[in-house]
Amino acid sequence: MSRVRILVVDDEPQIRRFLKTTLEVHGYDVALAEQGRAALEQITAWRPDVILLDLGLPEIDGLEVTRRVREWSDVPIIVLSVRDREADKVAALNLGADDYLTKPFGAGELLARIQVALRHATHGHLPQAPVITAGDLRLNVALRQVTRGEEEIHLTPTEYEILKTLATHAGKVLTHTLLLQKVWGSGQQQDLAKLRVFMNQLRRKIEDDPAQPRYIVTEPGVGYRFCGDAEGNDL
Amino acid sequence: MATFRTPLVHSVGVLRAYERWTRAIARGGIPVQYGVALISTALVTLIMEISGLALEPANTSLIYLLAVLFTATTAGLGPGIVASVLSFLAYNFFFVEPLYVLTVANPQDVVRLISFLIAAILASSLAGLVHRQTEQLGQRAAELESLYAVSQATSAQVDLDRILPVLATTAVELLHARGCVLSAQIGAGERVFRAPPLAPDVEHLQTTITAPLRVDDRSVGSMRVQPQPHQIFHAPERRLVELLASQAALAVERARLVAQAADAQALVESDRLKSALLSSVSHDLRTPLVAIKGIATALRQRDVAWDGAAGEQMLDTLAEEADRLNRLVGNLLDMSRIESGALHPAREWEDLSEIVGSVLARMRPQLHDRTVQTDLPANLPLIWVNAALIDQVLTNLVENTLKYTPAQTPLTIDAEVHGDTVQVRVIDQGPGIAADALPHIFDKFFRVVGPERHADGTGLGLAICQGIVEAHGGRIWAGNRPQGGAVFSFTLPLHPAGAGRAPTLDELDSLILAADHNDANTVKGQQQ
Repeated sequence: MSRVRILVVDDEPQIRRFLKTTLEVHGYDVALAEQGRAALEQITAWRPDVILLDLGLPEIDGLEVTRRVREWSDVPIIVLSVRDREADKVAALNLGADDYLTKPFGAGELLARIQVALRHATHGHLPQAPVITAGDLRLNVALRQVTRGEEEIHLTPTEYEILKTLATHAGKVLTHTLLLQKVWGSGQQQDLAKLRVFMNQLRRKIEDDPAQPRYIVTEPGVGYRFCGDAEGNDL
Repeated sequence: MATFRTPLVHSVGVLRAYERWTRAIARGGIPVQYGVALISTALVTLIMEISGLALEPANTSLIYLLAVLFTATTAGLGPGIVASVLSFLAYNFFFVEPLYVLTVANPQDVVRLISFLIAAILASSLAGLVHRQTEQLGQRAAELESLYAVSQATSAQVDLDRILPVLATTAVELLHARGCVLSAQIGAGERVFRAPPLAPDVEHLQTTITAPLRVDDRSVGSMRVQPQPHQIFHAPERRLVELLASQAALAVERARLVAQAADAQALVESDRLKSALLSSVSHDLRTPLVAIKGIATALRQRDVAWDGAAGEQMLDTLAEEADRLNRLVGNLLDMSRIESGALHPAREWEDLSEIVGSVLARMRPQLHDRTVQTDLPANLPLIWVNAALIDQVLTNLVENTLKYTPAQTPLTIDAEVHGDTVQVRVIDQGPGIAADALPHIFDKFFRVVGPERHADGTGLGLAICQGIVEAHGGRIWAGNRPQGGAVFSFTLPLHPAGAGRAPTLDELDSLILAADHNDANTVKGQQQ
């Protein structure tokens, strides 16, 4: 089997070097690009399996690269952003980026995100199995049934939709906008209040301590992420 | 003019009575002044007629002369002349043969009468002059006194909004003018003060006095005084206005200098802050760098085998120090955004318990084995905030607690609705905050050096919390619990301006119930 190819797009040479070394040590094939135009050329020519994309690029920025790639490819894109550019991060995710990493990040976090992205790329957006588990929590998609331990949890249709949507994208962050689109078919910001209330109710039913949730974690200002078993605990 | 006290004639009691008498007559106006002429002449005539003093002709003219002098000194020149003529007539009528007619038989008497009239008029002219000078001196003294009072009042003040109206009012009062408009350049703009406050603009009549407000040949404004309809201003009035204008100019200049001094002080202060920032930042940034550089070069040494516990510890420190550096840089960025007023958080309806949850999840490695209790009511309403920033506030508060309380000290985060705000508290059971540190705890670069460890961080964490909470229209404060431990509390408004209509929980609840009775697909239809 050929090695997984990762394209690293960042304008800072130290970061490119760090990423190349780390990823090659873990057996990935790595190519580098330092700006948007070169990245787009590499993507067409080299066909990477995952793209690590810095948002703050000169000329063609990361958002534009994401937009152009999504016109013809589903290749997983993980955006690299800094803390004070929250809005760019959310915009990239809404444009179709798969995940994000906030600089600085650890190697473990990076590898875990790459694995989640690769798994979703292989299986598409359908669950890999009819049953998704996370600790005590079992979601049987075929039966539309949720259990925790031996106990069955009764969810309303909307609560179930939210949980299923997040669980089938386990490990990936879903922005508020994407979640609203997938569950209600509307991406209106004013519906955010509604989503928060449903989320609050859902957590009360599935979490041990809704104030410190284990299964559905909040990404402040971005969205939600479901932590399934498959993702392990190295996040 | 209504209340003046001239210090000229106060040495002798009689003269003081005389002065009072003069003032009373002056207050009485023209009828009283001429009344004095009539009454004094009549009185003298009556006394001489009854007492027979007039038998000696020389007495008669002397006594009449007294009446004339009295009138002229107390009532002025006009009444004095009237008294002279009246006395002349009465003298002739009552005391010169033939009596009770205005004819004179004896040529000697003609000479006497004529010379009396001339003497009386001359005497009353002189006395009237003295009277007028006294009056003028009194007026001058009153003006001086007013000016003195004004300059005293204004020199103690730097507030032009109080000084300049006083000067304008004084000008109107002293000159009995119709109005005064005082315009002054204050800062970049021009301010206009009027007396009386609602006076219309002063018309540029010939009789209007305009005096510039001058400071070292620079004009900083002007004072314009408009007379009453038939009033004409002369040199003394002009001098008075110039005097008041110079007072106004001084006040304007003084205010400018005071403002300049304050600016200079602020610059010094900001310089001091900058150097404090630089020294704090360079120290704080360098400390983790020292560790990182040291560990990296140590791991490179080929002759040492870094494995096992020592190697692990080195690598842990490396990662921790990098995180610390990242936090410092983040804090500095936040602070500079708050300072420059660039903090305009994009807000959304957020669930506070969600924010608390994500803070605790992220900080779990730092929290180690501390018990963290969260006490958030189930029906807490949504809040209109920027989640990332409120996350930052809670993170900084929890980090602060970790820094200043011993390991394993339990921590509680609770929230409660008070009126139209939600109050969030971070409570620890540590040693609390020293009383002398409490007032400064939210100041920039303020650090409490704990007994247990050297306080790390920039001293910016709590200042950032304050900046963020205030940008959300809330308030933050710290205190100690009676049973020990510190409490950091902050409030956030539940219905802030610009939030639109807050969705109530009941509304959303009923929405959920209604929605979930149907199929999710039906819900989709209802939303559109």
